Amino acid sequence: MALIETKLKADAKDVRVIINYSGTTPVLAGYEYQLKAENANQPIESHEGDNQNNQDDIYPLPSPISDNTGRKVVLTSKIAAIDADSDFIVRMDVLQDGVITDTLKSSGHVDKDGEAKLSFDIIKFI
Amino acid sequence: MKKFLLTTILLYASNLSAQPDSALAKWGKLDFAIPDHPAFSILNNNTDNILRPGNSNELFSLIYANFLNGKTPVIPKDLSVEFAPVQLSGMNTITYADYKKNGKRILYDCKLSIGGKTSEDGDTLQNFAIGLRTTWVDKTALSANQEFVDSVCKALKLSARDEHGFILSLINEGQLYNGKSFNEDDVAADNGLRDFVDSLYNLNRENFKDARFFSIKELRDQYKKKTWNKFKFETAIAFKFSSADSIVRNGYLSKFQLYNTLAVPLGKSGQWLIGINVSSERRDSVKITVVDSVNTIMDPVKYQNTIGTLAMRFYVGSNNFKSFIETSLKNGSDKLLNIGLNIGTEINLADGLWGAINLGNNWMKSTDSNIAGNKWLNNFFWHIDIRFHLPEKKKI
Repeated sequence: MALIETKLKADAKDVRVIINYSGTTPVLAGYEYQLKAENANQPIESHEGDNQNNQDDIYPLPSPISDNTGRKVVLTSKIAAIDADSDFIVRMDVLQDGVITDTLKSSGHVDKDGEAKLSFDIIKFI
Repeated sequence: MKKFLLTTILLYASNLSAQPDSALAKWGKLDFAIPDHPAFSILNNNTDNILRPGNSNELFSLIYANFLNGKTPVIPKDLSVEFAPVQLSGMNTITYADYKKNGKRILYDCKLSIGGKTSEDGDTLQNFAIGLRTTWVDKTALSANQEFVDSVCKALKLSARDEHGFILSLINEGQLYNGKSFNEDDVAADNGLRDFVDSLYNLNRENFKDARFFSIKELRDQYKKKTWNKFKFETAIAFKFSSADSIVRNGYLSKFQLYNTLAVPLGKSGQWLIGINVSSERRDSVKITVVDSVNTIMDPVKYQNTIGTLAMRFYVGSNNFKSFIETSLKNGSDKLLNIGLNIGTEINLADGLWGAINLGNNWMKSTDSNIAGNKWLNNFFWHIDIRFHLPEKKKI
């Protein structure tokens, strides 16, 4: 499922979204992360990144956390094989005050002889 | 029956890799030359003194030796398979960042090989070997090529941003899918719709101002040509079990060998391999005691012969066609000095199929100062090997 809804805790002080890409063989991924209001084209936040380093693929929601209710994270990923075909998984964890409360997983297959594949994933905060 | 048993054991690992389970369908292969297997080398089927470095992305390969020996090759006499056990067993997914950490990469790429050699009549398994190969450094792997990785990541980030913009433009223009308009949530929730917009993007991407046309395959091919001879360092160990009759009943550890191979580029189309190996082999001899002018006593004696080898091989050619010349120097506790000269060619016959031809001569002389009148003994050899690995285009 590439679209999930997650309930923000009323007293949450810190909420983060962690992005991770894995595969049956290593894959390379580039992504655009956007935090948007529902039905808005312009994002509140926009970031680009890749999966060369896991440490910088963590994005905190703006404070106060309650303002994010009704917003969504839109993650557009392009995934490419390196040396071999791969069955890949795009994973987004929602971390609320240090505890993972929800996980989005989206899977696909990429050929090393083919073009990069699109993964389009959304987490809606309710 | 024994021939069948041997073939079954050796092909078991290859059958593992051919399971339809997608978790096992992992590593396709770059078409670099098939490496020597440690298990194959210790069986002395391979006269090479250098263990040719492997491809760290290789899951499975097979060597079938003595392909042309004047007999019908129905059941191979000399056979070896090599596979990556960690990749085959349960370690199903890995992140790129984890793969880059040396400890995990080394474990992930570690290769196990098993080989067997039957008696001359092909009826009895007389030698069995097991080997383990570790790649410490591999600059030929694209995953280790930072320039390649940076190029691909840059293109992927651009493409992700462009494609999201493309999806929004389709939504704003009222593009239909199955007769209905859609929004971002629909694209995320419906894999069919996602693939539909992805295919439209691939058709239209050159019209986008920020789009950069790129092909991963072209990048791979371009870098593969440049990296086949890059720096590489491998270590392997192998154990050989032998028997005078059948390994199943009377097998014993007869030889241990440690291989170290260093591959260094020589310009754009050459490669220099340096091998430093140590082996210890159990030998049988006879001690003769003269009792008197008529009687002697002959006692069997077992001893260990330890040999050190320094060898160098020069490759010239391309990824698909290379020739080599190799020299080697061996000396051991048996005081036999051995000098070898070996020339050959490796040819990529078809996708995943390689042929290796080589011929050479060995010169041997005792260095024992107690033996007078030593002369050089020489031995000419040649052989043709066929080597197979999972080809790049084959999907398992």
